[in-house]
Amino acid sequence: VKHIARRLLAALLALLPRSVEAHPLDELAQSAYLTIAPGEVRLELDLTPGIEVAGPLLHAMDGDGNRMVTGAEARIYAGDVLARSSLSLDHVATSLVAGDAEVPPYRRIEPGGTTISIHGTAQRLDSVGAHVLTYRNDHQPGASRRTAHVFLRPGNGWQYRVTGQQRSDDGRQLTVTYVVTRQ
Amino acid sequence: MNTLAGVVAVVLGAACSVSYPRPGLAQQAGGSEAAGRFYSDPQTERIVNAADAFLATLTDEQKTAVLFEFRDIEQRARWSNLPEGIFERKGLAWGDLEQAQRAALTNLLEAVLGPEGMENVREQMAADDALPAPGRGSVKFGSAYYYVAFLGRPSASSPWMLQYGGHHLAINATVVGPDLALSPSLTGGQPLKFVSEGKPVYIVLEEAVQGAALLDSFTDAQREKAVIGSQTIDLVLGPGKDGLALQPEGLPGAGMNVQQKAQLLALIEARLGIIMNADHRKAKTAEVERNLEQTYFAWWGPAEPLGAAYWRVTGPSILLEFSPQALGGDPTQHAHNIYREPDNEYGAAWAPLE
Repeated sequence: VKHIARRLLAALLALLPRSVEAHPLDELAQSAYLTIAPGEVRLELDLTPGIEVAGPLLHAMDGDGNRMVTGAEARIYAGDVLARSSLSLDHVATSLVAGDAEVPPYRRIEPGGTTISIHGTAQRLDSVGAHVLTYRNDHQPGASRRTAHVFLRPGNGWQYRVTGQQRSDDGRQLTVTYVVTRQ
Repeated sequence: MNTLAGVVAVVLGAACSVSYPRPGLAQQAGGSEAAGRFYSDPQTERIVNAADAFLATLTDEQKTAVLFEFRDIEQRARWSNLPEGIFERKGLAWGDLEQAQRAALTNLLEAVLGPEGMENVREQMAADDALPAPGRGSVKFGSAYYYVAFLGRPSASSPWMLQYGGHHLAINATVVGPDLALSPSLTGGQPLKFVSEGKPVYIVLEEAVQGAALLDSFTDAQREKAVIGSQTIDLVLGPGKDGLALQPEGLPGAGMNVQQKAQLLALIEARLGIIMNADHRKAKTAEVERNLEQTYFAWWGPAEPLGAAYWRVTGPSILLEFSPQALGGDPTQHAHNIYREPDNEYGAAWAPLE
């Protein structure tokens, strides 16, 4: 009760009027979505720049500076970004192959808050038993905040169950232990 | 409810009572389909009547703009935390409605969300009006840019969906006979603390207080499991992330004592209270309570100040994320919060598309 009362008081004091700014974003948010699926690990890396870092990100993507990001430019950028990601399966480094990239129109990225999605895949062999996956993201074009999360997509008779997750405190690295079973 | 007087009452009420008031355990029938047709109940009748009354205020042109097919997958997913100019919504904008149409829409939203939920919608829209407009570009803020849409025709006997949302708000309410699914729904806002019509408002105060109270109740050993990281993280299953199921992390209900379980339930009810009317909330709360042992609470970020940390509730029948937005601003003034029901997004458990 004391804790709640103390927090309530703090909340009441915080209700004093103050000015607010609209999305004064100065960081690149990076969220990795890893999916364990039959025969592969899929990666979707979402990059969401704030308004103050959207310009440099667009500059890095728009190779010819014509304020349009072509499919070819997006693929080059995706390859550069994923080159700074690493994946190991059962403690063995595995290649992440860059796939397509979903890039909204240039003018929508400029104000910040719009997400660019980069896709990649890595091959893996399914076998019954305990396994470990480690993902690390070292892409840091400036101030960045990172997270990584794991999802399961069973199929072809293979079932997956996560038994543990360990994260580095800076969000760069996620280690997942999981069990594979056969139906 | 979220005005200062309301939250003070809620917080003090929670703090002073030994056991938290809980709804009963009445559970609506599963499936909701009998002999090949859906049946209805009084709450659904109220919602359908309110929806019909709103549609009756519209011109033919407006009806064309607001009605979509129930199976329109693109429209289902057309919601976002982003403002006008960055994200394009479809339907009818609040700013384009006449006064009588706004009153009818408000009545409908209150039938779906309950009075507390409607108050939250009003406050989120007022917050967006209080947010200074950006100085350049096509980005627009404000209550005028909140959109309503229907997927399918309002009915007590066949599935349909009501969508309402704008910057920081997305209500996706699927009605299937007597059942109502609010998954996925986005709440939060910016600014969270402001003065509206002379009254101080803190939009997420109850959730922030209940979450902090749960964390405070943990022993060191429990806290070690519940606190995953020292840095706040971003929303994981926000817009565009339909159909994904987060793997549970943190401390499960099974690892909590009786008071802590009650606190966890109170935290969940704080969110349900702003997205669900009392009738449907009662059924959902009972379902959550049955699964409480397998429902996890996880925390990323600092314990102070209030409302600055990310927390998550992951259970068999519910996912909650509370995600302060710390990117260069005051994280206690800006939050993206999501509500999802695994395996029942857009009411898929009751009205699958395939």
